[in-house]
Amino acid sequence: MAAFSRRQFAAGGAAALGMAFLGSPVFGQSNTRLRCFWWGNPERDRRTRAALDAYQAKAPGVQVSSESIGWGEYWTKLATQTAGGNAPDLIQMDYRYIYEYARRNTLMALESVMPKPLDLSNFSANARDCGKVDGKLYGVSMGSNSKAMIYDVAMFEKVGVKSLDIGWTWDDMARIAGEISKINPGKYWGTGDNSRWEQGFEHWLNQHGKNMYTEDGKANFSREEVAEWFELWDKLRKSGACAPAEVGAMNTGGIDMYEISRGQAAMSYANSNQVVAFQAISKSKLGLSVFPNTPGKPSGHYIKPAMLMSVSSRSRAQEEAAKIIQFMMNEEAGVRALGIERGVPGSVEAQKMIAPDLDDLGRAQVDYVAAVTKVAVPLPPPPPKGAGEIETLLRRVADSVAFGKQDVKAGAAQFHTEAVNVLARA
Amino acid sequence: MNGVRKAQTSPARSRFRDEDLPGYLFMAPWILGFLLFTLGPTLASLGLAFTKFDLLSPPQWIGVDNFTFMFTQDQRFWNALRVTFVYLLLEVPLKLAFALAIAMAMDKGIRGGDLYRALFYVPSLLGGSVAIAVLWRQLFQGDGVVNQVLLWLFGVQGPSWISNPETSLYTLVILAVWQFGSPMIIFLAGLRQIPAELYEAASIDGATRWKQFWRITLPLLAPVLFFNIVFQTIEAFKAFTPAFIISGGTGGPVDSTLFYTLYLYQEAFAHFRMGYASALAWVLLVIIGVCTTLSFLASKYWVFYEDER
Repeated sequence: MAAFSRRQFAAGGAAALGMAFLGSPVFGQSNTRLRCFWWGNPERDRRTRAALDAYQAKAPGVQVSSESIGWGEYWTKLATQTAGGNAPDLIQMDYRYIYEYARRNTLMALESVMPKPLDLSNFSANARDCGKVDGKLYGVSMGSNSKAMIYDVAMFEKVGVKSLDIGWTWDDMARIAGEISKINPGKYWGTGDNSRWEQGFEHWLNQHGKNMYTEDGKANFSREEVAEWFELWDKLRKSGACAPAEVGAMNTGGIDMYEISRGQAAMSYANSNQVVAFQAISKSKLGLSVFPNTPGKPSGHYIKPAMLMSVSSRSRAQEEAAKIIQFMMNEEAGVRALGIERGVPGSVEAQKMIAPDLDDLGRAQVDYVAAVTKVAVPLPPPPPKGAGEIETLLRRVADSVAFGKQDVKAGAAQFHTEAVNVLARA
Repeated sequence: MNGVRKAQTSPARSRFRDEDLPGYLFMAPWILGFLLFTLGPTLASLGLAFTKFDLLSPPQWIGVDNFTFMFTQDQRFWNALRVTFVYLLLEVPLKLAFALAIAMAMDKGIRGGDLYRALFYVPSLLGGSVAIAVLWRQLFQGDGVVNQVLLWLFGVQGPSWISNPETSLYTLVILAVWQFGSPMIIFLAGLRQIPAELYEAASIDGATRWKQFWRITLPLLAPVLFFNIVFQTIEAFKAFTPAFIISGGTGGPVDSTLFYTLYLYQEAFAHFRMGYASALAWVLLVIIGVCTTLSFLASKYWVFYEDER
């Protein structure tokens, strides 16, 4: 046959169009479409999609499209979509950003959908209230976490450390790390470099009884304190306990880039819920512990929402979105699909639902959060606008100290001055 | 008065004839796209350059504050400029020298020339891509292929090239030089234009190869060389992807790979200073404009076209 005639083309097109309508199961039904957006890792994506699929199976006519991306790009994309009036219906929110988004009226106050369909009566007061801004609830905590040191169990056993006491100190850490560094010198170190992580410095300040930022968003630390922090890590690097600058600088923030994930150190510093994602890409068995203590000082750990789920104030399916949150937080299928990857659930009932599914590491995480709760310091106010920039600033300055481009004192002065400027400008 | 206006408008009217209409219709998608998606945002960014704008709240007019801050206080701005110029001044001459050398070798008609030409062009097609930048990261990291080869050949343990602020920028220069394909093709076309008689006459007069290169090849290739310089310089100013991928978007370590475009991106999309980023973009536009103008002015002294004199 030669070319397709125009009539054949038209007939074929009409047929195809008809088929498309017939083939579509939702044709004629009322159809609710929602978008759900989160940051994360492959493990979280898998779990969240499973939860959303389970929801769609029991709620015909609801279509949830999902999208996920890394932490850094997430906030870029969310801000762009929000500014363009095209925010997703379900927004994974962080404690760091919830005040900013809520106060600009981009999030929905959830009181209007409570207690039906969204029922948080099983949540502990702390887990519920951490999503409140100016007295109204803008986000539901998806799980609690605290900062945690993640370590290679086998390496610790090699130097005779079976378990870590909750009161272990910086001196203990220096000794253990130093011994581990001797196992495979020049290739593998005791600890990754945490001098460059803003939240590591924050923890150290919390340990000394201070918050990193004041209530009104100013820097609450002196250059002497920065110098002390840099000095602590400088000593660890010089003694060989801590990985050198070149190794530390490779860590650009993704879970796969941490020293422990790259097989270059036995300790890395992150958040307790992230141990699930760390273990997913690690060949060796991992454990978690508090950060090292300063004797006679507070632990410096606080319990915070690992992440929250919010609903866009411009969503056209707010009721449905609330039902999805309810499904994820309170109904067995949703709760079990998500598991403990986003932290320990805020509801006691949900904790019971996931208990049978937990592996050793999952149980370790639950125990960890329970143990830290007993020694925790109060949750500081959310970091101010500009804190994200301080994160990159500290990384840059700490690296320049580690590479020996400037000494501890000069580095501390630079970090302090620039941090004050960044916060003033934000 | 009336008559004058009519006289002025009539030639314009006669220029637009009915048969032009389809032409304009066919051009309409492009023209609309240009106005809406290129010219519109460009002009909007000029306006935003004088504001403080964080995407979520409306822009606030702050006059020339962005520019005064940039020139008087922003050390990262000056550092980004320094990094970009170091990169450009190394990358452009090296890449062009490499491209010219390969083009001359190919011009001599080696066997399988077409295959090699295609092979040498491949990196230019791939080079800007994310995959290659990721590959580069693997090659130059501490236990990467480069160090394994060094260890095997010389028994030297190399540093982690990409995570050391002293060497990271040079890995990016090498990556760029490797993409010599497109200037090479242009050089090759230029070389083929040079009449063979000139070389014959020169060799009869006893000129060495070296002399022939300086006296015949280079002067006759000057217009092509000039085109490549201008083009590659602009490309170098715009370089972004490799630095973004290799440093994980940070421009690190210690801002050693903080290209101007990367800094601009960070200010806009990581720190949400859209106004300031717009100002940075316009300053970059002016810098590229000035550099290109200077190249054109300087070219009067060394580039001669056949149809001149």
